[in-house]
Amino acid sequence: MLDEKIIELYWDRSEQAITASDQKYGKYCSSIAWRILYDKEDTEECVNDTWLHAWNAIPPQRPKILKAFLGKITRNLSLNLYEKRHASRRGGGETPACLDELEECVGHEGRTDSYVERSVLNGALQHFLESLSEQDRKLFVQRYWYALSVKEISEEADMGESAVKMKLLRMREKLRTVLEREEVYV
Amino acid sequence: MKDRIPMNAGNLMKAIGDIDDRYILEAEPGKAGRTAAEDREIPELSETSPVSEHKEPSGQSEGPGVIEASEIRENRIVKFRAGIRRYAGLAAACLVLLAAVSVWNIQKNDRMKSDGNGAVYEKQETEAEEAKDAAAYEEDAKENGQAAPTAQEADENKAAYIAEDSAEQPAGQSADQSFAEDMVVQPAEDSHAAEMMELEEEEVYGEKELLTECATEYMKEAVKEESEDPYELLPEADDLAEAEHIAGFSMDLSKTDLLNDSSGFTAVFRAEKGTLHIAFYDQTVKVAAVTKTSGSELTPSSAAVDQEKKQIDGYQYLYEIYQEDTELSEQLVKVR
Repeated sequence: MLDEKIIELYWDRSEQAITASDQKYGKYCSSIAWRILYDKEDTEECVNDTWLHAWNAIPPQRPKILKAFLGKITRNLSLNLYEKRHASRRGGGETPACLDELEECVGHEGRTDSYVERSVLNGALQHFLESLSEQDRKLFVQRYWYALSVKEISEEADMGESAVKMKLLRMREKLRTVLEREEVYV
Repeated sequence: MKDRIPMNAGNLMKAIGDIDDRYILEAEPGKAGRTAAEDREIPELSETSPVSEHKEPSGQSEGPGVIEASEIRENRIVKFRAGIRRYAGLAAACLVLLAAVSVWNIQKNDRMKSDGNGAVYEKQETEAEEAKDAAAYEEDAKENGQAAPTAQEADENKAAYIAEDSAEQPAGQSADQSFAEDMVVQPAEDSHAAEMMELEEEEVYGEKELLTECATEYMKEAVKEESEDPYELLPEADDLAEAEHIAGFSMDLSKTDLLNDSSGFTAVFRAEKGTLHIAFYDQTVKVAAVTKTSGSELTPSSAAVDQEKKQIDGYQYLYEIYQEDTELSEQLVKVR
């Protein structure tokens, strides 16, 4: 079914919209949730919640790209659930490793109470991604959006794992520089 | 204040979630990512796979179909090239083996031909047999009390042999002519043998050339991704002497091989007396680490741990590349 048709179903408040979304994007969303949570039940829960959130968001929203829209919802829900489940401990999967790596980007001259304007942060991230080559951008997004393991990324990109690690390290250094330069911290 | 969030890794990861849709679609995992996810038995997935979405005539000009199709093509080309690189060594070895078998086969055929028609080979063998037979005959005659044939008898026997032999020759061709022709063959046989030896030498040389070419191609490929000029990351002339001093060997371009990585680090390979020396450096730190090996095992020098973290990272990266590519290391060691 075409995305436009599915969106129309949401707007018509037809429950077929959820069935169609699940049929078309269930696997995509499950993959995203699974890579963050590494738990069967939690993955199911997040994917089901995705349809509920989409149901509540459409209308009034009319996403241009339904796939990315649903993927973002799943990812946010998965990260929230991850935080809830792992408040006191670090679980399996790639999320702990991703968070550890991103920790390098947020340290700011010893300050631990830094706050950031969400919109400024989003703008800085956008500038950062635009400044990367297409290949590097793919590596970054695959690691920190899709939470793919380094091994999976290296297979995707047909590169050595060490090369991927090195590129990610340099991109994190660059991101840190961008965040500091654009005075994201307040 | 509502829009302010604490700056931590979790919030940064969430913020990354809000990036532009096209970056999300651009980086959507292909086969490797999906396979890895599917291997973990993600529960109750729908039958619609991302692959089938490529075929859907969605009508969205900026939809996934357009981006992913080009991505798939690009991935295929990249993987195809990588495959060629990966199997270049194997193909070279197969070619060398094939050539060796061909040469052996030619030599064998040639020898068989000589056995069938080559009078020289046969003649020599006949003379040896004749001498052996004559000795046995004399010995036998002595034992039986018979006298050895006189000179006249020997001449008569020879005349009879020639008459018998000429009867087997084509009409108009005497035994002497045949013998003369046989004699003419000999230099040709010798020259052929010399040619074969030359060919054999060329094969040995060719094997070395192929291996060298293979290693060079690998390096060219590694370099091509980041830089058109493989030598542009070499130290400046002023730094070269210091780099050579730290590395402990000459970085003469005509005698070294280079391997650049994407981060700007360069490895210089130099072989001396069965030992492969490797120096890792970039333009700013000159020489990051020096190591050497007499086999496939690398022994990092203390220089590797004395440097700053950045240098060690670069060193380890190249070191891992080198270790991962056993084919390359074997070839390099063998070629040297």
